[in-house]
Amino acid sequence: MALDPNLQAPARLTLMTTLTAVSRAEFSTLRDHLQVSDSVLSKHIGALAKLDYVSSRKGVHRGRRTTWIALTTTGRAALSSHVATLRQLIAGVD
Amino acid sequence: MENMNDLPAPEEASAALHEAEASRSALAARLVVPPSSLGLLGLAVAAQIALTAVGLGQDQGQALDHVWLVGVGVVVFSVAAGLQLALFRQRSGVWLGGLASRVTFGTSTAASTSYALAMGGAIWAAYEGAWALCAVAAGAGGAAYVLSGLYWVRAYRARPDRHARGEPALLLAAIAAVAIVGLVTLILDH
Repeated sequence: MALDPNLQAPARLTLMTTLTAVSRAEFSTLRDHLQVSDSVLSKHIGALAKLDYVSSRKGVHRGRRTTWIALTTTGRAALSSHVATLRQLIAGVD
Repeated sequence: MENMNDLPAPEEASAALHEAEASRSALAARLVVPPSSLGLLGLAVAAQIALTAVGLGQDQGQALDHVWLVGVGVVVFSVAAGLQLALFRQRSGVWLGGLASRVTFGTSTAASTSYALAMGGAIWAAYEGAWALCAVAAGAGGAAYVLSGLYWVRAYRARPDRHARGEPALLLAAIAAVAIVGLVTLILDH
């Protein structure tokens, strides 16, 4: 049983899980929803993008330049495996 | 370097997972597809079916005089679909592939089947000159499209991770190409 160390931080697990609800989300939408600062969200997204867990691309939202974030296939697989391990851990005590 | 075998306590794992899933559910619940937007799409589908049926269903000698109505129908649907997707994206700050393909472009089984039946019925009625029946078929097609969309919204809210993504863009392009070829064939056969 092994958890993905890159998803151990609750904030990253929440970010990745939240992204499974959409095809892609605008940066400020994610920031407001997760109630984190720009810098915190940027840091997590940057780290996850380096692992190819999320992708980001520039776009326009309400007339201003912004960044759209999406889960990648690699990220989806990593999250799925991580969550399966978490569920095994939880089931072990039930 | 974090240790992969450094497992959290089950209670911690449960709390982290619960928080993550609650965040996902909250986002899904916040994303609203306005009923007016679905209603407008339903009207556009009904209009497109009716215009296509009228465009193709005239007497043989007059057919080419009205075939432009088929194009008008496609434009009406395209404008309504584009408006719905643009407004949703602007208001919500997210893009939902499932909404675009299953609801707007009707790739769900219910939407595509009801659309095909309504279109077939409307064209048949137009060929027979039964214009009231043609209108009923077009209206039923639009209503079924809306109901199918509402069903998808409910399914999405229950399992956002399962329903968020739609069909790949390549498949949607293939479906659009088949639809265009079908329409052109119908026109040429006329």
